Amino acid sequence: MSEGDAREEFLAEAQEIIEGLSRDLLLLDQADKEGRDDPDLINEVFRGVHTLKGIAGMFGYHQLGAVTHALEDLLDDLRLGRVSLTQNVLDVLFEGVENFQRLLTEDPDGPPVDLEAYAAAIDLVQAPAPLARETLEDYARKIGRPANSLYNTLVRLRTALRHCIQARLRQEGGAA
Amino acid sequence: MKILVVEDSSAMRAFVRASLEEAEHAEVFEASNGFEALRLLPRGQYDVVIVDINMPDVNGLELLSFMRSADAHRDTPVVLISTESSAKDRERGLALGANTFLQKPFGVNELVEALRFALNNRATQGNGEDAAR
Repeated sequence: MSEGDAREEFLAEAQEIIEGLSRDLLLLDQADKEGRDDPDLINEVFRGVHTLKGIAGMFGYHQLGAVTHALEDLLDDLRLGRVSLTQNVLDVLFEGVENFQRLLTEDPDGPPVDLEAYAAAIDLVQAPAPLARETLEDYARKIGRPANSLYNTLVRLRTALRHCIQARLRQEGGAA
Repeated sequence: MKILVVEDSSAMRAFVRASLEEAEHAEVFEASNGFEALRLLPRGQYDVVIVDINMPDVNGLELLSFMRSADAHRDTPVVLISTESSAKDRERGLALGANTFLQKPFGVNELVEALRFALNNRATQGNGEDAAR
């Protein structure tokens, strides 16, 4: 088997995963509209994105790897109940799969992928849940500090982290 | 050299196969999951088994645990691969008797280096000592 054969295998598997993800997200959307939770389906989506991340890195698709990584974190939050499945979250997931497809095929005639905007969209739906804020307030009371000051520290940390991710995406975009 | 690659991603298997056929002139056999590996193991004397930790059903650590409890595979060098950078997986794998650990993404050189390291470090496996580089 040659390196070219392995690359063809990668493209075929990545395409298969992306199609599976599209299908699973439609099912997840339908379940959400019917008011049903489907943790198995969320796990399936997580697994698909996780596999795609692993193989994208191996075959030098670094931008695809960066987007799968960011989406994997969001899916992990969903799995663990840190983020609830809402229409906004579903929109971000659908957009992610569209980005995967574009980054995989690198269609020169297609619209460019705005990775910075997408990272910001993920960040928006990953904002601290009300429960996290409440827990933080409990903790602040316990240590006798204003809750807002702790909350703002966390937000500043998150913003700094987002800037790091965006800088990395820009760097990788420039290197590609 | 006969190598068994146990990995659920066909692209990963293809990468490992292409790399080792080219760099080591190895004869590479593939299993797409732990069950398939359990069927293949008794059929061939493999010089090294390369195992992905994250697989559905029988995962890489379970397969490794089985190999170390079976006389026929107790001494076969094992390279564990995973996407996770978690120290926990690495520690569990090494404690179970893996000979080395390779984190995705990796290149041909790292793969060959891990393979040679595993072949040269058979003696330390299974006793909980850190066989990693």
